[in-house]
Amino acid sequence: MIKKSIYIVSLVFLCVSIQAQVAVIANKSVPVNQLKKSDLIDIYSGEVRYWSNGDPIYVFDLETEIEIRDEFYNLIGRSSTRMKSIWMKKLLLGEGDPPKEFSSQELLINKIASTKGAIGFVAVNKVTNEVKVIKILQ
Amino acid sequence: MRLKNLPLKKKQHLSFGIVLLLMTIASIFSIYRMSVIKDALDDVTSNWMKRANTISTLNLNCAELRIKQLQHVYTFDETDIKTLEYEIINLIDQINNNIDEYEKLKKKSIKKELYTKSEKKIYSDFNDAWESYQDYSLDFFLLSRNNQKQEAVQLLNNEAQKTYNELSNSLLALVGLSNSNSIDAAKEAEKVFKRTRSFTITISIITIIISILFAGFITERIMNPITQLEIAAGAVGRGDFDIQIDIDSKDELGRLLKAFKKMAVSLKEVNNRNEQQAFQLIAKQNELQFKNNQLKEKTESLETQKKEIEAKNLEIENTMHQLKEAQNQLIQSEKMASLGQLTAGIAHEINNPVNFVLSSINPLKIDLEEIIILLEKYQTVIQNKNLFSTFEEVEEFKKEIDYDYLISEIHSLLKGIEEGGRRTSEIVKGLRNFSRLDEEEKKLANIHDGIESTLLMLRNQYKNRIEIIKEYGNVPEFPCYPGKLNQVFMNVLSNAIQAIPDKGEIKITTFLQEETAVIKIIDSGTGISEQDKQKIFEPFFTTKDVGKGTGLGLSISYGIIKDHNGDVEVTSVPDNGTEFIIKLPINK
Repeated sequence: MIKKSIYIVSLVFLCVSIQAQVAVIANKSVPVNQLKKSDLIDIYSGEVRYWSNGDPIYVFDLETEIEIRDEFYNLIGRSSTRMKSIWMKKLLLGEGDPPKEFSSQELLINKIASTKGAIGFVAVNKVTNEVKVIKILQ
Repeated sequence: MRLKNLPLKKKQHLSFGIVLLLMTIASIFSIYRMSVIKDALDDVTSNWMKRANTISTLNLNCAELRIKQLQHVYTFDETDIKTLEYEIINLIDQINNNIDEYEKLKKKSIKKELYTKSEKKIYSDFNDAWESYQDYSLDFFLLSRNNQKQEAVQLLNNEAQKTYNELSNSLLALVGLSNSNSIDAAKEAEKVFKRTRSFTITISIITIIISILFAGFITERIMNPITQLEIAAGAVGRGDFDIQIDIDSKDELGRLLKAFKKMAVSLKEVNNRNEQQAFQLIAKQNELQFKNNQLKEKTESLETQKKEIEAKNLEIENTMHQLKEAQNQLIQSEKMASLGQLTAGIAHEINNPVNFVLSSINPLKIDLEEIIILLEKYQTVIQNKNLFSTFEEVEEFKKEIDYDYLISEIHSLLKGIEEGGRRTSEIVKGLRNFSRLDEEEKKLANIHDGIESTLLMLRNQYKNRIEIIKEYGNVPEFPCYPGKLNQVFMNVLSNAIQAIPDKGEIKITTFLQEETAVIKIIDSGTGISEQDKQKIFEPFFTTKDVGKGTGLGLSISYGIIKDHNGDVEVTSVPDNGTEFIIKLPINK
């Protein structure tokens, strides 16, 4: 009985850890296939606003499902709190708007698929064929 | 080895070693405890308090941020809005800095295990609240920018208000926690300190007690044998050699006591032998002492006799000396008395005839003048009346006797007689002056007069031969025996004259030096040898041929100068001259 329950608990933990993997996804029109963490920081803090082919970058974020969002920011090395303060400054200085937020990962995937030059992130297991995966963050 | 058999040095080392060990333990313990206290206090200052401080600032900045947001929504002026926005940006930067600072401190505290679970929980609450508040703020600014003021105000006053309250509460809780932890740490430190203090004091007291006990023990160990030794030594000193020493210690003192005991026994034997010899010796010594005393008495009486004789001898010598002086004076006064009488007589006898001569010369001169006038008148008559033939015989006689020459010769002869008379009179005056032998008391007199009259007396001996140079200073009259002083000048000057064989000079200088009249008589004569100089004032010492000098002159002069409380010095260079310096005090 005990053995079985330990097994279950460890399995649950394993699932969580798999879920913690975050995939960075983009619209298929995006001209890059690979991005570094520093590139992601630049894009998500609004420092880089255009792709290499001149298309504007549309940065998407999650409003709910905070675990995934926090995980993403932690993995790229900036806390979501700090990101907010950066955006607040940019907003007040008129240097751009913060990333658009969506209430679910599915909605986010659909929006990326349909928006040219869009970039976002979801849990690895949510990824569909409609978007291309640029980086898996672990 | 037992403790009492250890050498003294080891005993001391052992006891001091133990005391030292205890002290060291106490010190090390105290130092260790102090470091614990220091750590505890460091925790308070470097952890809890710093964290509390950072959180307080954070809290303040958050409150400021909210106020600025509220101002932002109610401001419509574009520039004011811009200013507010810059201020808000600054505040956000400050808040971020505060959070970074807190995170740093947090890391340190976690390392030191000073970060409590409750603090972690509250901080995570704060973090969530802060993120939500930032979300609201972002929304708020977006609304505000889109001129949806109404909605913006609502957002700020409802949801954002709640989140802000949560945020603020978390921060307050954190501050409170840090404060209470600080107090706890301080209390802990104090507790440790008190414990340490009481421990250190206890150890010190124990150390002191042990030290005293050791000191007592050591003293007892050392003093017991020493006391015994002292008693035994006292006994031996009194001559009691049967001493009891009861000690079984084997240290230095134990050995010393044993050695002392042995010594006492051998001393006893020697003493017994010596005692007999001593008795005999004492008897002999007494005898010797008795004889010695007798000898001493005799020596003493001899000594007294010798001293008496010496005293008498001295007395006789003194009397002899006085007698000699008296004799000298007697000789002197007798000589002078006869000489004085003689000179006085001669002076008187000569004075009378000389007076005749002197008193006759002037009338004689007048008479002769008148006769010459008479003769001239005759001459005139003869010329006028042409009576040459009548007086041919007279004229012839006149020529024969060379009349004109006769007249001039008469004049010069008269002058010569006058001069001779005057000089004789002066000599007589000088003689009188010189021989004032009736003087019993001092009289006011001028020494220059005395010197002058003396020179007059001696004139014959030096005239045409010796030049007398006189340099008389301003010496006043003073009470003295002028005759006696004249005798001194006479002796000194005649010696000076006699010392000059051919031509030469004598210099007489007088002057007043303070209250003393000084007379210097310097001759250019043969001088006196060093040997003779020692004796010149001795009576009957003379360098002249037998019968020419008495050898009394200078000794008498010396006596006279001493009578005047004066002094006389002689310096002489043989072949170069002699200098006599006579000093006479003028007030006595």
